[in-house]
Amino acid sequence: MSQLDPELEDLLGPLRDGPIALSSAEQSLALRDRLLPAVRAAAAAVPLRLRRARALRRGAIAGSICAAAAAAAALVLVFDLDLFRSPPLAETESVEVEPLGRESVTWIDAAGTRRELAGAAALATPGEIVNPETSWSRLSTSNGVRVEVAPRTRLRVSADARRSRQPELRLVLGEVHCRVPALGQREQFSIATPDAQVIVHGTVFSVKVGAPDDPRTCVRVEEGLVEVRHRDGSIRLGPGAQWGCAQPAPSRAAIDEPRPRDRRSARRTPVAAGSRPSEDIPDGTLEHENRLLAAALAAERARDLERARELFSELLASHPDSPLVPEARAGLQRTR
Amino acid sequence: MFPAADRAPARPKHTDPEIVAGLTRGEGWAAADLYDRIQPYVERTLRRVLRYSGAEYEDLMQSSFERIIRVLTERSLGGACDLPTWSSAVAAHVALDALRRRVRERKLFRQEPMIESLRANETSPERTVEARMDVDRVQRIFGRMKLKHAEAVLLHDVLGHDLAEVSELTGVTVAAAQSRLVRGRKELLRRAHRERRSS
Repeated sequence: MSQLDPELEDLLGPLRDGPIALSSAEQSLALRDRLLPAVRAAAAAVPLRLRRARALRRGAIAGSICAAAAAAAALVLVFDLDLFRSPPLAETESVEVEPLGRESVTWIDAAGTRRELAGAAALATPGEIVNPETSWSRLSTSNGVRVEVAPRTRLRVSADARRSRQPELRLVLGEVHCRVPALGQREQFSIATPDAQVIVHGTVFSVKVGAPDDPRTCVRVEEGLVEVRHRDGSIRLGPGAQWGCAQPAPSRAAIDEPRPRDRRSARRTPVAAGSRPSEDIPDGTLEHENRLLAAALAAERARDLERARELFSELLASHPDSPLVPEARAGLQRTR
Repeated sequence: MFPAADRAPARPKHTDPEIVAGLTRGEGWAAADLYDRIQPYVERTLRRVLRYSGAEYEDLMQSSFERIIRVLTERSLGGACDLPTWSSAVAAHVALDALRRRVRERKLFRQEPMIESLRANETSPERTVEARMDVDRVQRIFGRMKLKHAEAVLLHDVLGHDLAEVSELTGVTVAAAQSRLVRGRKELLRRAHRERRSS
């Protein structure tokens, strides 16, 4: 290190030598409690992954045949595209389900056998979580996705035969709150609902589906960027944005059971039971708001501050109740 | 590799090879032992490179552990590197990914990350801001560099691994590791100059 170019030394010095704050013993213990289940789940998935890798190696045939098969499979996928199919949830076929309240959670496996879960359990997919009247539960996958499932919710976790037998997630009824870690460029997480597909690459958000007679979807984003594909197209939602929800966000007072003790829960967007899709914001408005914000940000990046101010102001004037208002205000301040 | 720890890692109940063997069998005790053995190294690496805490930091800790388990069960331990060295290298990779993602997200939303400030040791507000900007600048450059170059510079010049370790950790020959390091340093300087000019 001593032979480093002085300029490099200046550049790297702050990163290399600057003070860093480490967790206290108490924080470390608390972190251990929070992370260890996921680390255990990742370890539990290792034998299966290794078996698969060995099987793949054994099954490797001539490259050209594989390439042709892959191309054919890709064609099938492209032309047989199911808009509402959920991509892989985890790399394995097992998930962990943990009841978070006093009541047990029901797991119905592929054979239709019902199993009452009183504590955390590792379960092989496919299957369906049926939550009790007042208790929440948590579903965790080996790739770090955590889904908190609200009372009275039905959530299907199934194997997708067309996609390497990996599990997929489908919200039949109720609501879920998701925390998705960064999954890398090639992975994504999504939830399919009867009328939409919500796709993310690392964020915190919630999805709700109404009763069977009106099973429309409401998506609220707290952090990160979420894409919602629906019958009329797709829309990208930033922090604070929502799609298909009642406005404003209702309180969760109607839910009997308190949310899980996880400290992260407090930061998630609450969604009440009983929000009605009939009060939805028109999709067109949201799209327009998104477009305005995107254009304003693009103008700001291009240092066309006057244009950026114009667009931020237009967004504020034409959509004063938009969830993007805080971002527009911040943008306006930045460009003044 | 690291300065004296202010708190020692928990004493592992098993040796490194036993932990790895346990992981390949999917045993829970191996996951717990692995956590206790390497958590301080992973934490120091992530905090050294990223300087922030909070929920995102926890997510990155989790991602690091998952990647470490994957790496350890797909490659064999040995050579120049032990469990902490591997862990630190994997955490560095996770941190680099986070920096790159941060650069991409800034393009979208212009959100400044919550950099863990150096407030503990910086009494002057001006110095705090200056130090934060220095760190932010080099992080931004790392986030834009070619991954293999950034990785070599980070492992060698920031985290203090020697070339033999960098070569083993990145799966290339020592000569290739050295070449990446040299090119990486040049790229770092070039980007720093360009950034200075544009600002």
